Amino acid sequence: MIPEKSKITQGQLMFFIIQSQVGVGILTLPHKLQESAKGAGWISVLIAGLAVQVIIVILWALCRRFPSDTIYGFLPKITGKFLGNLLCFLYIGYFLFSAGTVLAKFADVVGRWVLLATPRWALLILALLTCMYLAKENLRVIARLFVISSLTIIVMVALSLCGYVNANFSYIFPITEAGWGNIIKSANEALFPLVGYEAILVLYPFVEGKSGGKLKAASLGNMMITLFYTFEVFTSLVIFSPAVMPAVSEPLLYMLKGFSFQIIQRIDLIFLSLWVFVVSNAMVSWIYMATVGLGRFFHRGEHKKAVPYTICILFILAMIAQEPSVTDFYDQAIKVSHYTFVVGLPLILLCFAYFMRKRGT
Amino acid sequence: MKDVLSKFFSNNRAEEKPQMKISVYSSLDQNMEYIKNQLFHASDLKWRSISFNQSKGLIVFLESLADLQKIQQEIIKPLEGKSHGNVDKVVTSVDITKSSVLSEVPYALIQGNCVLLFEGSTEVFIVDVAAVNIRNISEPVNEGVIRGAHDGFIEHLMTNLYLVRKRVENPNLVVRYYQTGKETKTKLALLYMQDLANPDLIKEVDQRIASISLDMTLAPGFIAEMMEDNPSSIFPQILLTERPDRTAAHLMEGRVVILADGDPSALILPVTFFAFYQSPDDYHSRWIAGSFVRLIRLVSFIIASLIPALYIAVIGFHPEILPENLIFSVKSSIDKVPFPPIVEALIMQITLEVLREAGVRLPSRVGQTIGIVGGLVIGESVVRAGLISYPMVIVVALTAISSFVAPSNEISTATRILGFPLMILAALFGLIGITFGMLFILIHLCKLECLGTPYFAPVMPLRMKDMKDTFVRFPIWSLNQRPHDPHPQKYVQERNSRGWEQDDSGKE
Repeated sequence: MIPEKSKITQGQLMFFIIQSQVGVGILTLPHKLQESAKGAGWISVLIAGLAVQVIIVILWALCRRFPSDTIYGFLPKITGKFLGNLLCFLYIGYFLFSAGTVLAKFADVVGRWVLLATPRWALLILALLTCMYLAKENLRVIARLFVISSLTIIVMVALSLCGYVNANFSYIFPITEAGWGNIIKSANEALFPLVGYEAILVLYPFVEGKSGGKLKAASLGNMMITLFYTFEVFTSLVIFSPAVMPAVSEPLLYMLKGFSFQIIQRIDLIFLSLWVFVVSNAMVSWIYMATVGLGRFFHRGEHKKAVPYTICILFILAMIAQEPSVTDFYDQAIKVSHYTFVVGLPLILLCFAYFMRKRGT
Repeated sequence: MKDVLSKFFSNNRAEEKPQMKISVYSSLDQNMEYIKNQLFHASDLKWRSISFNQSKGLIVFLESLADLQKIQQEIIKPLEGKSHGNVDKVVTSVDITKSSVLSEVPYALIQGNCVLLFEGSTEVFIVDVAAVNIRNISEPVNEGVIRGAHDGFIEHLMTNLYLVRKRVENPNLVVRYYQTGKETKTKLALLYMQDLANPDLIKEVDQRIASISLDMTLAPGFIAEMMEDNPSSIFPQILLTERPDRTAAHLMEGRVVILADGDPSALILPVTFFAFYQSPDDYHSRWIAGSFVRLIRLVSFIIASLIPALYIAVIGFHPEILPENLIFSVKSSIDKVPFPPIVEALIMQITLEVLREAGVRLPSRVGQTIGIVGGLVIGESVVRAGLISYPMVIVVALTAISSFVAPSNEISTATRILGFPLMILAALFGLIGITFGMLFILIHLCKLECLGTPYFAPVMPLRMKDMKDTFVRFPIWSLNQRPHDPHPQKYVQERNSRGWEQDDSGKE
């Protein structure tokens, strides 16, 4: 069913989840959280992480019933052929759309911070070609690269640590300034940078070992990323005073811009270069999820044949999203579809599968 | 003779069909005529008449291949002395075979055998009298070490096998002969440890050697190119070495070695990227020093491939990344130069490559000229003339020196070529371009496999245990297991060699 060459270990699954989850959101997250949750933004991230954990358990419970099928395999089994295939295409659309959003935001940030004069299309082509080169490989190769790319996260944490030189912990007090209601509400905001854990829907059958271990790996990955995000948000919150924060859209980068070592003046550029690694990986992860579906429907399971035109679709998606109005629309669409496809539908499907006693063999 | 051959070259596939089997005539002249015709009356075909058992005979040989001394000592002398008896008992050579097929004789001759023919007999004797002309065993010039063994492979297969067998005195060391090159009949030897090397690996290698089908196998490079999984990658996937100690060490890790007659390099496979950065020197020096040197080598890989690109990105896109006082001194030199940094870099890199290539080709007597022309004229004058900036010269010099640090010539060339696409990316996209370039290279390294072994192991896939002998070299007594990448049959290679340490503590 699943070729031997595509099998990955549970450790690799963990890093896959980590790499899928770290995306563009991290740069703007502290700014957004500070708006609503004030100094308790980091608590919101923790709450969001907990919520994600719950969702992961739901997704896992669903996948566990069909241990040898990806989501594209078991959807038709639960809901019947027609509806199932329709849902599959919706999921493919959702994955593609997520990838497109990540790509667009990536191009925005790089265009604003580093390459001011470089045309957007050139940047997109560069990023997409690199992603294509990886995405058409089998899962094992992708996972290998993700494992090693995770080192960049450690370096990113180390770089952010420099910020503590001018930290002022009084900025976050009083912690409940915004009130618990707002804190929980902004957890909703913090949920979106954490998306990517849906990868488990597609990856589940590719992972070796028992289902319990798979859940553990996915949860551990999510935990690490939640902690990483919490750390970064916390760092930003103690460095920028509440008065300055609303003016700073990418607090992490601004923070690093202010520091310098003896030989490197602009640490933010180094941070961004590492961040490019992580974002490309997140994109590859989305592309892989989408192309597995497309490959199943159109290319007899060979996902790599679907990669070239997927890349073209993403290019168009990212080219459209240049105006703020379009970007906002993308954001809204992502939020709605995320709740529908990752939280709502799986829950319904799980209940449905449970009561209908549907099980894969 | 044929069955002897086929026994030797057990896996020799699709042997040339002998056109016709002609059996030995009973007339001596007829036989001789046939041999002469088959070798087209070659001038180095010689013969000498003898008489034995009262019949006339001939000794036929190629004087270019046969050892005349041997013929005299082992054949003529005993035959003259005895004058009757059994030929194969009288002749004192080690290797003597009887044959009744005349069409085999020319092939035997060109392998350095001599042939004994007798009037009235329908059998010939083929005696091995091949001359051995070899150079001395000397240290390989391009793989020198400070400490350790100073011998190296030479162009003679038997000597090379001797060097390896001498180091690994173990019946498990298997040697298999192959023959490649339809016309040149180059002899290959495949070496592996029966109890270590993975059987699947050997099967695969065997299959790949057997499928080589070309008229001439000139260099091991031919064989390497035929066997690599990704021949279009710029990274070498088969390690070439002229050092027997390196070869033996790799054999003992469960890898496979291919030696070719007529060439001093051994092919080692499967290897990982990091094998190209290991040198026997690492193991001869103390482990801290060895680790330090190896780290320097790996850093030099990064310097050689990345520094020109980084320079271009920083100067062209983000000069603000440099500290202020450095910006001024760099800028003052750059402002005089009319070209963008990428053009500067390309000019200098290509000049460097030209100098390097010229240095290899030039006879050593004029070699000094290169030093003067390259070092003084180009290095100093281009800056004076305002064509290239000082920092660029420094960057290129640093790149060149770092790339030559690699202990393997193949990887050093690969490194310098790798610099070019990175430079172009840096010129187009700055630091972001370099990041994508590096990502691309990493993906490529991640994709590469060498006979089922991931090329970038143990980093991708990550294996902490094998890290002990990758970036650094841990003390030998802590390297308890063989590297996992060639999937050897036995992992343990060291057991508590410093066991005496624990005994000490309890003593009073």
